[in-house]
Amino acid sequence: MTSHAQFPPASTTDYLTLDVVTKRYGGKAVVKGVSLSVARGEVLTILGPSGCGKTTTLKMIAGFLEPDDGSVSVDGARVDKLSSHQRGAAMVFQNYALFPHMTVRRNVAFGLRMQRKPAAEIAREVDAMLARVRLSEFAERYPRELSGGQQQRVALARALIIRPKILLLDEPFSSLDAKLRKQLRSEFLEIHRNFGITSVFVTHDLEEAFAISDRVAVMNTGVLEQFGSPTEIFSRPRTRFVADFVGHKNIFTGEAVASADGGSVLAADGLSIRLPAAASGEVDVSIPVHRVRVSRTALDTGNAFRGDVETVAYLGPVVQTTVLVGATRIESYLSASPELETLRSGDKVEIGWDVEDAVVIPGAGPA
Amino acid sequence: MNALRFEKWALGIWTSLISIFMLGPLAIMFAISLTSNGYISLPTEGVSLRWYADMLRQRVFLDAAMNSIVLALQATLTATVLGTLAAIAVTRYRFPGRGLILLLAGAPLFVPLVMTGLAILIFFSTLGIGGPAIRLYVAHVCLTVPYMVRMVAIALAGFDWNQELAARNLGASPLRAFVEVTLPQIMPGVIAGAAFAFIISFDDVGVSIFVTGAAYKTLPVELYAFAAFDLTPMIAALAVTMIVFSAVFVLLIERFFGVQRVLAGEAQTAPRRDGDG
Amino acid sequence: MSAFRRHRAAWLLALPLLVFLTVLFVIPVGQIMLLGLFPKGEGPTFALFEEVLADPFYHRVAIRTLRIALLTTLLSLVLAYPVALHLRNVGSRWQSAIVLIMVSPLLTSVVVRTLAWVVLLSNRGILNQAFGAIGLPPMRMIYVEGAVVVGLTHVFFGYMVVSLMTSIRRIDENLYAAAANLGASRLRQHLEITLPLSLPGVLAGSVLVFILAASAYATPSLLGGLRISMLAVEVFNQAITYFNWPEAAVISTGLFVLIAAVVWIATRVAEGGRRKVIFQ
Repeated sequence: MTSHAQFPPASTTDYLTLDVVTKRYGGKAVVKGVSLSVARGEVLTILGPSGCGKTTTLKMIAGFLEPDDGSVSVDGARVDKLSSHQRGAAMVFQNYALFPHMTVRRNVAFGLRMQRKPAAEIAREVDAMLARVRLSEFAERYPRELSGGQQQRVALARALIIRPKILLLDEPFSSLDAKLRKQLRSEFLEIHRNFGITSVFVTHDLEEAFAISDRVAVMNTGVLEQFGSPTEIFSRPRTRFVADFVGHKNIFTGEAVASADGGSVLAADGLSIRLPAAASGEVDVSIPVHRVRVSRTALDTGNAFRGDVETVAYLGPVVQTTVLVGATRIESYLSASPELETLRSGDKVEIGWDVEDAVVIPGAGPA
Repeated sequence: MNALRFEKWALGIWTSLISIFMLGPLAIMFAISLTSNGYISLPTEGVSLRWYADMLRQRVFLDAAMNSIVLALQATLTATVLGTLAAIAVTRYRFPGRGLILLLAGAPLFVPLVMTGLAILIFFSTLGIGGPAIRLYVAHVCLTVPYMVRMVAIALAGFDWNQELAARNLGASPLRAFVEVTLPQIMPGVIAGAAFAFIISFDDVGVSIFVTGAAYKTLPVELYAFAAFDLTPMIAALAVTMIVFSAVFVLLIERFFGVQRVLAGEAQTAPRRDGDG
Repeated sequence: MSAFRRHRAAWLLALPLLVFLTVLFVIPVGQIMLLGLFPKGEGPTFALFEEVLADPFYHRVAIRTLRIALLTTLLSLVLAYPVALHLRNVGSRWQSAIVLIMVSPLLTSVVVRTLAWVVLLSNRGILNQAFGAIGLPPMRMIYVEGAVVVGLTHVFFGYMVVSLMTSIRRIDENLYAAAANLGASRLRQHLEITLPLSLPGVLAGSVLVFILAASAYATPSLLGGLRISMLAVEVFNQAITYFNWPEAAVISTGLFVLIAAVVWIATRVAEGGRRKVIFQ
């Protein structure tokens, strides 16, 4: 192995911890009591719409901003009073912020030069790093002469060469088209596997967050809405905001009443929906689009309603439909089938889902 | 189609005529400087460099030229430092008072030159301090600093300030980050701005004529005084020398920045006040 | 105070310029504006302003200043518009070269370029020598308003070209194709497309040239002589020749106000209150 073998191996203990961190600008809190943690070697993504405080949070981890309250710890030691480079958190910026007047080699060498290492040692380490990220033949090029993927590798190499404890990435793919994003995402994952470095990633792109992360933190208006694994976040959203943000379409808000069988019944939008667990009072319930079934014949699902097809769109392997039950619109993504191909707007259908498929969203507002 | 063709021709011819109008007087100046006659005339009797030789024997002009160069260097250096720092402040940060600083930095361009000159003359006289050298220095910094701010601000437009954060993140001190990362990238703007400032200072009459003194005159002021009563081909030789001197700086600007860009950016906010001094 | 602390870096960077210009420019200019109100150290009194405003000599000079500045603006506009149109038809190399020619007078000292005109126009100057050679009587071409207008136009022409070019270059070429497709002749295309869309450039260039011409000093004094005086020349005469600083202060304040008023009116009228075009 090369000298970079010292990157710690993955473990389950928390390596980076944010403890009720708050940041205010002119009296207005933009990050409110956020607590997060990530284990060694894992990827944590902070996900949220623009202005949600995710970049501010990242900047507090990076040391560009000081938290007003709370603490940031790395490997058990508090770092929030340390300057940016002392805490070993290297940053990959949006659009990479490569130095355009320096060659790839000089860009990558920058951090080592700042450490006043001897020239020979710098040259050796830079060569090793460039080889590792497959950039050796581009060493004397300037950033503008590189493709997007190559630029990303330069940015990663420049950050990784100072052997940081944590790698921070601020929406590195946000200005790119969809195809390139996917390619760069897999390049990032490859390098991450290769170096095994603990990483914190900021994005507003749901798919990106789910594709690369071990843990996801969803933020909105400075508040941490939910923190968990991608599957948890998607299948059990804790708040209405998270449910909307991760793409839940059929969300019903109503009054729930406990029923005899241990479940409950929700009265919402003129429908009576059976829920799997006991609930009472006002609740939000989401029916995932891929759980909804549509048929011309009667359904044996626990919830079933008669409705009229409003729209049908054939998207290759799936068929997207909206069905009106009274005035309530229910959306579904169905696997294509011969029966569905004959479906037309205005058709009378049966629409339904199993009782267990309804997801009860616990918090009505911010958690 | 024919109308379009005609239009292109007509515009081309018009532009050529205007070019003659622009360059003609300067070309004739050049021709006169080469005359062998003893009075202002085209070199009909033959070409001679006698007036250039004559010029080099005039102590008054040599001293004034030296004054002008020293003054322009001092003013340019000051304006470069003050202007670059202020330009960074207004492009990098959004802060209360930013508008005020922008307004202030442009203010000398909106006040007639004669007013600036008069104001600085009276200010120093009332205080009873400073001679012509210090007055000229202050006046020329006021005159040139707005261009410096503008030019560096243009050079910084679209600059990704995350580069400085990246450098800091990799262990550079704030000064080191500026010197290694930001400065090399705005250097063309700084050089072009400094060259422009130098020309403005070196050529100025409008302000200088108020604050100059018998003991310390700049070349344009000396030339102006001389030209008003004694026009000889030697004056033409001197004028041509000044044009060549300025041209060096103009080419420097064109090389590093583009004259067009300088004036186009500038035309939107403010005129070059040396203009007519 | 906390606002200062939060933006300390910005303020520290701007501070040297702020201090320099405040102390050595804003205060002196403010001082001469006040000087007119306290001519003999007492006041405030508008006596001196009233005196200057009542003086028919200054009326003539002020009107002449406005006339010369307006004529210069108009002449520059008419001469420069075709040049700006031509710049669109040529490649970027030619464009740079032409712009360099147009601004060359701007980049040479005012004395030098004005001297060139003196040499050409004076009574025994190059043009009159040429007239003599072909048997024409000598003409009086210097110390007349026309000479001042020509000299000023020559100098400030570059600003007009660059201002016009900036807005003409932004016009989408497809608009002409669209207009031609709808049956507009070339002339109509210019009237309906080029002219209205270049108005911001026309306004910017005109205001610029007007300001510069109205406050010109060296050109009118060399090409206009004693007869064709302008306000800036009178500021110099009062301050340096007669050593009458209060009166010089009043005239320069008047010049400043006059220019500001004309620019304000022009931008209001032309842009319906959108001064931004010029002053961003």
